[in-house]
Amino acid sequence: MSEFTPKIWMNVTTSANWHRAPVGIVRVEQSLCSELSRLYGEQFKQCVWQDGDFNEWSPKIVEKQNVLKGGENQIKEATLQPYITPPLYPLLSRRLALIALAQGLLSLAPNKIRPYLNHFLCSLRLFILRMIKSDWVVRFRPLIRSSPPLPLLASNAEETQSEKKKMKLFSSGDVLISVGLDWGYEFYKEFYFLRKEKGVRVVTCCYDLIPVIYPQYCVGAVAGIFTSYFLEIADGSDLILCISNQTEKDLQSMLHRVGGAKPKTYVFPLGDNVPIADADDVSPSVREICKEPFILYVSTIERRKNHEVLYRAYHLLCEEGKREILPKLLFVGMKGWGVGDLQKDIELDPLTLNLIIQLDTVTDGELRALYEAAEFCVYPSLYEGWGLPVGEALSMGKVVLSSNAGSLPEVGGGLVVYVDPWDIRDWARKIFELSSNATYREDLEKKVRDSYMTRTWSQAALSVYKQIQDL
Amino acid sequence: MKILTLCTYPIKSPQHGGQFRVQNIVNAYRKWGYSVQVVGVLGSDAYELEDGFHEFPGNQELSRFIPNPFLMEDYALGRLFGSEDLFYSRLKRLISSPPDVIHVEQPWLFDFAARYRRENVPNAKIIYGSQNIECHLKRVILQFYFEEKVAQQGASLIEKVEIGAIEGADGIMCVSEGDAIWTKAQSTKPIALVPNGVKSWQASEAGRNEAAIHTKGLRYALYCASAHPPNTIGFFELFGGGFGSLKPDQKLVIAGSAGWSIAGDVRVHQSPKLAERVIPLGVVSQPCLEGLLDGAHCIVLPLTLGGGTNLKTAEAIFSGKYVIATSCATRGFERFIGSNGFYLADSASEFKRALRIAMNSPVLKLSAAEIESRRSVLWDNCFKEIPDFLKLLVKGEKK
Repeated sequence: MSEFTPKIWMNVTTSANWHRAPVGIVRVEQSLCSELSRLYGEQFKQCVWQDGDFNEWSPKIVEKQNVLKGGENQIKEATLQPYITPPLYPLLSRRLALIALAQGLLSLAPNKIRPYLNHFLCSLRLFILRMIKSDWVVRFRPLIRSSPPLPLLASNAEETQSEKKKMKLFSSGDVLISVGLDWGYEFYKEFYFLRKEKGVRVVTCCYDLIPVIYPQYCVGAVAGIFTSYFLEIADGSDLILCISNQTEKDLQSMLHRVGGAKPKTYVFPLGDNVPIADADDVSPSVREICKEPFILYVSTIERRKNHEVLYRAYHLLCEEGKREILPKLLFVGMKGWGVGDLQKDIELDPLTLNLIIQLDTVTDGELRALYEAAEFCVYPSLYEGWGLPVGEALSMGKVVLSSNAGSLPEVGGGLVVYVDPWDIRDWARKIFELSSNATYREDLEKKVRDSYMTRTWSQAALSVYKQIQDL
Repeated sequence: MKILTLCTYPIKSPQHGGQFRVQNIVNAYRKWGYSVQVVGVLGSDAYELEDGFHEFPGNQELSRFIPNPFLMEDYALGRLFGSEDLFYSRLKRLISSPPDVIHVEQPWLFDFAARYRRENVPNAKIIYGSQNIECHLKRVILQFYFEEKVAQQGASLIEKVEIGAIEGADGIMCVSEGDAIWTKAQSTKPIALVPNGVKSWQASEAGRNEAAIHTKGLRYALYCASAHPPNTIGFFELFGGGFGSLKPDQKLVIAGSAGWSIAGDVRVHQSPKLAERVIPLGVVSQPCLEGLLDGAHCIVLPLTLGGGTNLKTAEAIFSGKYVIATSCATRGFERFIGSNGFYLADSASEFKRALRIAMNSPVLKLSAAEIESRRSVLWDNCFKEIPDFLKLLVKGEKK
């Protein structure tokens, strides 16, 4: 008899549903997936959440999808495979879809009739639920559809026929690693039952508790959603990976406060090696920026990231007549929420006019080029669960002027110059000092180059691998 | 000996703690051979009228004594029946024969009792049955609805009535040690400690089955409470801000009218996971309640207000289950603190953690001695001081 080898499942639902350049969590999911795949070999599998169940996800499907996006092979591939229509994501189970429809109807209904509509919909609930559980849809499909449905995810397009089929993918002893944007899906609520009923060992990840601790920095009232999510994964995880000691502490503190489970946690270092890319992959506009001295801030542009303190520091320095000495200030990142006024200030302020510039998205090659060309880097965030750009900048040998909030001091320790994120004058002082005193900056840079140990994704994955082996 | 018991709620079908207490005291009096008549005024139009009771007089009458009778009905009602001849006479007419002892439960009808004695039975003794330090409790309740000044004024009025009852009575039955200490500071009258207790029960098969329909075979914690505001206030104080105590397949069942109040309160949705974990049953039949108690893994008493001893605490202790209670809910049952299966937790965090620990522990097993100790909360044991106390009052005998 052959010995049973548990499978290591990586839930790649986030990546499978991601259609932009990978950022933050998506990059973590993809990097860990790639490295763990190498470490586990055949034992390693990928899965996605679709139609209320986990389904195996073959990387080949992704490749085919990528091929379909363009290039010479498009026609050739298209003749071999049926066209895969990109679905509107995230996909919902039939039950959730009906709930969403009902919610939509209620939301669109005029106030006056809403209670009656609500009553009517509630009265239909049992009937609809019974209908979903029956094979009604299957029997009547030929009548309601003139052609077979387009496959959504190749072989995964088969609809789950009954509850019994759910979670058939997993066997007892298997490991499910889920480190994506999980709170946006329903699957994390299954983790507890996967552990209890199927004997699956579940590994999840906590990136930060910012929505819980600082809901004011987030869009909408998300504190409740995230508290629910963390409570659920605390019961549903054998191991929660945390990306910093601060995050681990925040998580444990929150779980203690609300009486949640206390699962095993492990702090794993995120890789901060900036991908090596083709030097030709740099646009003329980025090349142009690199010709002049500039200070680099890599981050989504949103309130918590505190771009405002940099703008105000620049305003103060210009007011003091130091504009000529200042390098340009470059924000690299997508525009997030709550920064409309700041953007307007930057656009209109005559003192700082043309001194602060912004790049929306950059390629890996461009990011590397920008890190290389920057005078130094800044990171004034009001709170972080880790602070990957600080590590990336250090790994590129750059001096970093960083906020001392949250986990940020864990990234670079004594190699970083820290400033209180609320202290505008201190930011102005330190920015000016680093900009005007080349010797000082070079000394710091040398220290960074000599001492900073770059964390690689291989190391990160290896440490996770060891933890999984110990489960 | 004839005993007249005065109260502001009917007792034939008790729903809340006060009703249970009076019903059991009356039953005990009768068991000891006394002739008891229960007379009173309904303190709310939600009560069903029963023999010996005057109907709720309505807010219009009550507002003659206080501009806004909301939450002060008991005070205004006492004034109305103590000082207004018409209402005094109506209530007096309900008394069938002159008593030897008048037991006034809570201070509301004390003015009536004092006047009735003065005018009709000057030799009768009056017992004031205290269920709370009423003025303290009232102040806290009023603070939730009104500005501090109004709360303070209401509490002062209640204090006056309460002190009047303590000073005017021949003897006082206190519900807890704390109550007795406070009362002793106001008066030198004899005091008996009569804590709240519980009637022995055994869940029936039908009751268990009915309970199981609601709980679906899941492990659950049980909260039994009426919609009395402190029961809801404590619940949200301790379970607000995120509720992580229960696993996805565990539930918190709320039996009693508190279930309806809590389910209809927006705060249940503001505490993450709370609404998902709660099963608000509302008022259930006695067999179903017994079935729920029998099947519960633990019983919670998240009370942060109230000066009396909680009947539900006695019920929880007697059930033989894990009990998680605040100091407030443990008042009168302090001897159980630290005993097997009894968790004392006062902060929200402690309470939630204790609940998680209890819910994930094996089913509680008590030794014979521990079971016997828990049986001390039965009414018979709680009332053991009453016979001597009555003798002391009526005959002046030493205890």
